[in-house]
Amino acid sequence: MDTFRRRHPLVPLTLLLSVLLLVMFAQTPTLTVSAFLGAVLFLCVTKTKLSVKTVLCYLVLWVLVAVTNPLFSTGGATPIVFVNGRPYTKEALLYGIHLGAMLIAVLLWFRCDRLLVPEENRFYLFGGIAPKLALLITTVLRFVPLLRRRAGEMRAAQTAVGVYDDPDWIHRTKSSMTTMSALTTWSLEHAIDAGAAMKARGYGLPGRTTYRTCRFRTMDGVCITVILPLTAVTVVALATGRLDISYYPNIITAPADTLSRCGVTAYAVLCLLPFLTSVKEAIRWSFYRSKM
Amino acid sequence: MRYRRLTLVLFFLLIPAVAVGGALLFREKHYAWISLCVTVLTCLPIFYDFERRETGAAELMVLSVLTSLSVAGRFLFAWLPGFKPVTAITVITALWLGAEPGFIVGSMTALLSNFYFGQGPWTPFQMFAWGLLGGLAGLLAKPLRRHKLLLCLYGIFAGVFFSMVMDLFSTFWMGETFTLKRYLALAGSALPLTIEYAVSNVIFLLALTGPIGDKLDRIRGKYGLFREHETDPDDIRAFAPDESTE
Repeated sequence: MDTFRRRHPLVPLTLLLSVLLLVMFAQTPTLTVSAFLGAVLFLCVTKTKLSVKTVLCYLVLWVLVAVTNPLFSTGGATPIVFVNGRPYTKEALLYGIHLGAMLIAVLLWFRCDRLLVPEENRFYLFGGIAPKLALLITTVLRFVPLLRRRAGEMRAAQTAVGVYDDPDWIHRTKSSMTTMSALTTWSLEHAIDAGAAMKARGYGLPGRTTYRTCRFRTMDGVCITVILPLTAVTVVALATGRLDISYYPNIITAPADTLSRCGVTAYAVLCLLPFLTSVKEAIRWSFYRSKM
Repeated sequence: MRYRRLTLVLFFLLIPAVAVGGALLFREKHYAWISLCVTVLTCLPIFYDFERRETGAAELMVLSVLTSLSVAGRFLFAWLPGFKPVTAITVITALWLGAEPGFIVGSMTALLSNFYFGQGPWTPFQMFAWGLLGGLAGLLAKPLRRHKLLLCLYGIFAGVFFSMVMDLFSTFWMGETFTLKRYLALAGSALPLTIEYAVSNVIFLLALTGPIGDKLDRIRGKYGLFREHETDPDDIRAFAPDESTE
């Protein structure tokens, strides 16, 4: 299940970047469908639960994008109805449906992203390139819950003494501002202490080591040499216009030939890679278990 | 000097090259592609400069705490939707610590608060918008510190600017090309939110510039941090905290 998680972070990041950039900016429905299915299958096989609210949000966004698109672009040739004398065309509606699917696919891939690259590996990679920003991000991720807890403590104390427990919003805003201000004092003092402690422990000296060490192994190289050519095939097919589709005034797709089929297949394999590796691991797991 | 050269190369060669290359490859979606390139590549030289510069551990921790404050502030005021202190804290940082810390706090707040509220293609745009608002406030630090009225105007401008950038983002992503009509429709439907941003920015700036600015000024003086940014000791008096805010 965590084939990609165990790999060097460069591997899943290359895959994600290829999949995301191509689906975001290519206008080919087949690519969108691949990306969509790849993400959904991977989320299913990893048993990721999306809340009902999230799914509803996605659906509403999809419908909204699809339904409003014909209101703004009237380029299509087949009108369905006339709204205020302007045609509401079939082509524009189809384009809207495609656009909505693309947006949902991108959002789903951002969900997969969290599963594919564990946070600490991301910081390992990022820490090598931008050590200060990586440190800033890690410390903020630690400070935010801390500050929220401190704010909660201060609120509890204020409520206990009986100040600022007015329900009306002016008082609530005022008390929240006071909390903010006190929180600043408290946290800035701590920041200075933390800075002094870091300096005493040798922050900024050469020869820095990381919490996590990821070695780039032969297998990682193999994975990348699989991902990059697949991406290249799709890019070539896109660049030569074999995957072009124009929606207005009539839907015209470029005629299918070997290159376009190769491009679509290559992209589909890319999108399905996380799903396929997960399935492979699951099969292997049950196979080994059954022998025991 | 190296930084200068890098910035020049980036602005005059890399951004146009990537933008044009991508626009040729992704013919139909070139607006979305170019805007993404510009937002990402504009942030890079500033981040590069931040990495290259000598930043002490204490300075780094101060920036980290300010970023955490503005992220946590989004939770602290969660009971009032749309009411968040991000812009105010970014601007205050820029006024007292300089343009670059302002940019860093603004853009990092966007990145980090999306760890909680969801990452997506909008993240680079938010980083760009908030970072730029911080950087600009840092460049205008002197007049903004002196005159409360100007600061309020900046708060209004910040709310409108942020909304405009995000509406632009939605327009690029929800249609095949840029149509003014779609942009106006989106901006119109977001108008109540824009007004709320602007109003909340002004309220936060008025309420927090005094107390937080005072603390930042004190920390700078006491520990000798962020020395390259010039401030006037008289400036803080305009925002002297009175009993209602302390």
